[in-house]
Amino acid sequence: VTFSGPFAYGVFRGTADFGIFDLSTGHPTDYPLPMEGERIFVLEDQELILVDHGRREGAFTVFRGSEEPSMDTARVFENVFLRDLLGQELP
Amino acid sequence: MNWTTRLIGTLAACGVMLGASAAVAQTTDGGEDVAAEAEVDAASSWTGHGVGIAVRTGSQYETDPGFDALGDANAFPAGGAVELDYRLDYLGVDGLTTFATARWTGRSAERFSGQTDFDWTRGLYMLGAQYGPWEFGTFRPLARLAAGYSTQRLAVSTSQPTMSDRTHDLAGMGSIGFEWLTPRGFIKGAPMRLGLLGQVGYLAQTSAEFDDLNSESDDDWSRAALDLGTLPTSGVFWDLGINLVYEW
Repeated sequence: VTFSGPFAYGVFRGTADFGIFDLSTGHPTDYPLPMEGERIFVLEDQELILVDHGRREGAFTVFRGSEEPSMDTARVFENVFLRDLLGQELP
Repeated sequence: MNWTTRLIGTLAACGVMLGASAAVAQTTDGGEDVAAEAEVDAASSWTGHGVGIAVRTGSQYETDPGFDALGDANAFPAGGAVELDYRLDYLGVDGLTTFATARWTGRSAERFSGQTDFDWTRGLYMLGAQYGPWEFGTFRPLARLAAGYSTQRLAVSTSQPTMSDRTHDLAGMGSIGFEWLTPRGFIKGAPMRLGLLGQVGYLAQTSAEFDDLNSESDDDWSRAALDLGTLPTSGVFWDLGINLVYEW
């Protein structure tokens, strides 16, 4: 769980979604993820919500924080840690 | 299957075919005279035209670090190749042949303790010409040049949906080799010749840019493409093969 302003953001174990809790009312709202999340971050300067899916190869979903989270406002980054792999000499 | 096993299999197949063609050429009484006469007739009637079909297999050597993702060995199977050639001796240039070749190869590897699977395939399609003077009418050394098109596909499978990309490049080949054919008239009753082929050379190709691997997932999430980098696939290669030539 992470906090930003009047909201708390959290991911759930065992389900592919995350929740935003209005701390003033206690009202939770669930939003879908492409896969189960492990950690969630709020980047206030960039107005982004970043979900780390905890995959060994690196998988992240980024939502535009200025809009309600949905598939239309999200972009999924997969196998991030394999970037430029062909240019590296491997053991 | 390693390269020694492929070589033995290729040579064994050639031995079986040559043995069968020798049995066809044999006759009863006066067989040697008939065979010699057939060979003379076939040679004198040849107008310089001929088409051949060949199959080849071999290996290519690759030492660029970019290939480390596809395995530890510095060589990969050059795969299988099919060639069609057309003899141009009727133009007055003895031993000149044009050919079209299609070659397919691939390599798969598990890396990072089996967590990541790479699957790479390549298809080469080239046109070329080869020249070599005939020695004793059955054997010749060859110099070969070809150029054409290459397409490669690289797929990466992890705990996430498979991502893949296909590239299109230019390719060229230069090699020296040999061709050995059975004498004309050896196969009685048919203007056909069986043969062995071999070559060693260098395959040059523009580097494949695998910078747009897209997910094969069918859900509605927008996914960013993956840039794996550049994979150079030029290198020294060799192959052996067998061919069948029809002349008229």
